[in-house]
Amino acid sequence: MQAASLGIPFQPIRGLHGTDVATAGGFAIVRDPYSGEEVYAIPRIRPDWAVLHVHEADDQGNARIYGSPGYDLVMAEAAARVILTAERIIPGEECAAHPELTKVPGLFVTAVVRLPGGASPCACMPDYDVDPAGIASYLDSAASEAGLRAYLERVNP
Amino acid sequence: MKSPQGIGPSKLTALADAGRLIPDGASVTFGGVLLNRAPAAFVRELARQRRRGLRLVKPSPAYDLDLLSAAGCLAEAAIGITTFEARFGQSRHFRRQVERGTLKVREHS
Repeated sequence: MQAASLGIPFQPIRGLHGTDVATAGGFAIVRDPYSGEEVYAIPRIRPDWAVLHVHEADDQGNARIYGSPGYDLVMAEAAARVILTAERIIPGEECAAHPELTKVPGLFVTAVVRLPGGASPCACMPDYDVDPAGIASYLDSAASEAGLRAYLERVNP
Repeated sequence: MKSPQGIGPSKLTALADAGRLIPDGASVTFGGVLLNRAPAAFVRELARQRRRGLRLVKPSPAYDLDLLSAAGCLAEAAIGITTFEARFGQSRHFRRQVERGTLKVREHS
């Protein structure tokens, strides 16, 4: 996805030497035309969609993520289209007043869903931490098809 | 409805309508890392809508991968690591689908 986010066909990687991951993945080796160094060429992955849960977004999809953005910014650039779910919808004027806080530009975004608590039972720090009872409830429920169906009705959205 | 700056129409969408944007068979990646900031409610909506044949791509999924596996929504997963972390252990429902051969996995660690 890093390659797709940069609009290039593959990403050179060196960390796979000495492992079976390259063989299993069918990754080819290419030679650096400048130094002659050999690296693995990982083909780009361009997902059709990225779905990101963010802290704040305006109605154009300009999004703020507090704390670590993880891989979200690469995902937003790599995917063909992006859907945001957001803890809070903020006025566009606020994004315009503090553009340095925008992590995902609305240009990339197709749809924005207002969804407070949308990461739960996972964490959305600093708003809320992992909900241990919620995780345990999911793991127990999903053991059977009927249990999972009941869970999806109970935990909605 | 125009946004305050008049840039374009509002992109605000209801959850069910946003879920329907993703068709059966699409490749999709989800934000967040392991148990942090996964779009969990959106993932539940995809499962409720009985999406089928999705191809999930994510370096470190957990709840999202596990739930969509259990719900039979996935045809394939390209992942690096998956775990519910020390407190909850393995992605057990994902593992069950892989062991049954109903889900193809490509490892990208």
